[in-house]
Amino acid sequence: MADGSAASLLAQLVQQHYAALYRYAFRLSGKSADAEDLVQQSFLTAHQKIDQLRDPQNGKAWLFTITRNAYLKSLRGNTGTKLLSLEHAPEPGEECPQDIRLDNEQLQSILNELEEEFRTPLILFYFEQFSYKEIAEQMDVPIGTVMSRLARGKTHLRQKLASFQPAGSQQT
Amino acid sequence: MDCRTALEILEVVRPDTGDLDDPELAEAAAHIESHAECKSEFLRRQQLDREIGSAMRDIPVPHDLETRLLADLAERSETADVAETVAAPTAKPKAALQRRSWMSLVVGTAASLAIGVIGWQLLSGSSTHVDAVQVATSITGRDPNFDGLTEYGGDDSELPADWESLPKGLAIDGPKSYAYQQADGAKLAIAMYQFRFTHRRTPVTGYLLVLPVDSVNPPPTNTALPAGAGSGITSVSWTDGDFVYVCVIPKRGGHFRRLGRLLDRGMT
Repeated sequence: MADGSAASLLAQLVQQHYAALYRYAFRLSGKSADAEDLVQQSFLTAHQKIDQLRDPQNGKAWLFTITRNAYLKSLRGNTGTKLLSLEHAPEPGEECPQDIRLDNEQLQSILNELEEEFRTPLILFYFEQFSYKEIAEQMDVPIGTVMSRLARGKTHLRQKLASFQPAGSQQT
Repeated sequence: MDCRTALEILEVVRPDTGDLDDPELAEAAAHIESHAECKSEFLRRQQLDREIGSAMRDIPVPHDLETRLLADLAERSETADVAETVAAPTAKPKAALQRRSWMSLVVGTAASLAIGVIGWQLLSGSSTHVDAVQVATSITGRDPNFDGLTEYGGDDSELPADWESLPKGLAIDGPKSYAYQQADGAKLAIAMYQFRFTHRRTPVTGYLLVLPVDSVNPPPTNTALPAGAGSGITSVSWTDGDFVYVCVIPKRGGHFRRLGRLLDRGMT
């Protein structure tokens, strides 16, 4: 790829996807400063690896994959926080709570305590940017694994959100 | 299919999209249509998904982020242009940022070997610059006893982005400190990773060494593990940003193409 066209493609990728990437990075990391660093690092990696983007139509998925990889890399050596795995959580199936008042900070705190393998499918699902098949491709896991993690993650999210509600404010 | 299973399968349905029309979900979709309570629960979940999705996406983006990102990229492009201009009188033409064909890989690797040997001879006695091919040669055909090495304590151990994604089927350990003996006898600590994968049911073990680009002379002109790396090659080296990577698969040289495919899968 010629340098000029690579620079032009990169600028286009920034303009089209920087906001979505920032939101994704924010939900992954939980902090604005970390999200900015991740986005900057992602576009730096994209700059270095632009030759690997075979089809510009896949630019968004490619950038999301890079951002997730950058986030996973940032976690290396970070053993201070015990994260919650839902691998052995009870099977999904409870009734959906109603009249839940959503609080953005509570939502983020629930995400923060989840292991990345459950957090990422949840974020990508609710962003409505990718199908579950595309999420499976980004995470390089079988579709069935994504579906299972998503179901467990959503159940956990609903239970936690319900637990945050003041007594008497919800029906089940 | 019972209600619980149907509802669990339908958790992947995004509200107000055509997801429910996916043939793979047809059985679950048919099930909820035939059970009023089940459908009611599905609709409740869809409504909550709308609200959670709206909250999940409700993140203000810094107003100047786009400007800063574009300025950063422009600056990096300009820096690269200046570096290339300065190096132009003596440097080889910089390899285009694209994967090489199998044939160009073979030619390129052969050229790198020749340049490496000559370069090493010219630099003999230097204790500050090493040659990627010599580093690879020091490992090829030998057992570096990776488990017995000590942990690498330096900062210069960054994996390439496509290795960071830890593609399925590729296991990576390290970094450990590999003591590379230079021509003058001095030892240089190099960050070494061990990787493992299987190819045609055969376990393959290789090593990836990471060197600061300014310690390697000449830095390889490849910019990524070439897609066509194939038979007869036991080592490949390339430059990526601030680092030179030397990838070695001792004894058996026909596994690089498989490794390239694993890495491709992780990046796209």
